[in-house]
Amino acid sequence: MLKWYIAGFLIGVTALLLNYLKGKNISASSTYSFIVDFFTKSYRKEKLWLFYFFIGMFFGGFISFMINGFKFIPHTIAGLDEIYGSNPVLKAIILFTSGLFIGFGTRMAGGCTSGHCIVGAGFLKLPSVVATLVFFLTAVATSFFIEFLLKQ
Amino acid sequence: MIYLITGIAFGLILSLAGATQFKVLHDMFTFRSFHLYGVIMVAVITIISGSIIFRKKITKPFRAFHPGIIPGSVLFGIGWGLSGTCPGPAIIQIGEMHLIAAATIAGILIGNLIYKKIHYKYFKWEEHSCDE
Repeated sequence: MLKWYIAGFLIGVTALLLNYLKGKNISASSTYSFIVDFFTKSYRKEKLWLFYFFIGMFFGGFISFMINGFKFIPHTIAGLDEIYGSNPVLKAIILFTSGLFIGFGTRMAGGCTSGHCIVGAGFLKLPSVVATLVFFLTAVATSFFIEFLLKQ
Repeated sequence: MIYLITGIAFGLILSLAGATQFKVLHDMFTFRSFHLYGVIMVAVITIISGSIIFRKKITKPFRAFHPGIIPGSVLFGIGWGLSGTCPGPAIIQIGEMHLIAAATIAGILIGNLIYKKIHYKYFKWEEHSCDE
């Protein structure tokens, strides 16, 4: 795993580079809004870059898959089974339900970890700092709750 | 092209930093590990410094307070805690061939669509997003 100070620095540099070269700011959740708007025919063409960035993230993950020696593990994500057990259908249902919360919540809040926490806080925007504190504390409470309920 | 390359960089770094692993996220939320706090802190400090050094060349993002920020963040926080995944890592996990993340992505898209419908029907304020 990359050391935290190296990873953090590189994430910051990537965000700055995109801003410096193209005047755009990383926002992963906006891509989902773009895709939904595309299929409901109300999308704006100037937001197409979000989709290219999204495809890039896919390939970034794929390169990591290659670096890590092509370990094909389709049915789980590291650590998921320790909390939810090994039934893939149950895990898929939990991930889908979480996705509903994530999609609804990020569109309502206008951003997620990349847009509000990293970029928004990095540019010292108060609404983003507030959003970050709220979703972070909620995630902390949720994590302790599922551990209390489910961990064997 | 630059969007594709920065996307690849972003995806690769997050993946190598462990930000796509449920375990790493869960250990952050339950205060067992400092790792991701360090990653986020250094990323934010790098952007703060960069935006001061290159201030003439930087496009500051627009962020506004709107009524959706707090309830939206609460809902996102629940999903984030349950799945250990945020919208970026969901697609990176697919790239890592953890194909079960397709369930997360389907959920995010449908949740996003449901909010869109509700927003335009019931809410009066303007929608904002972080790409502004």
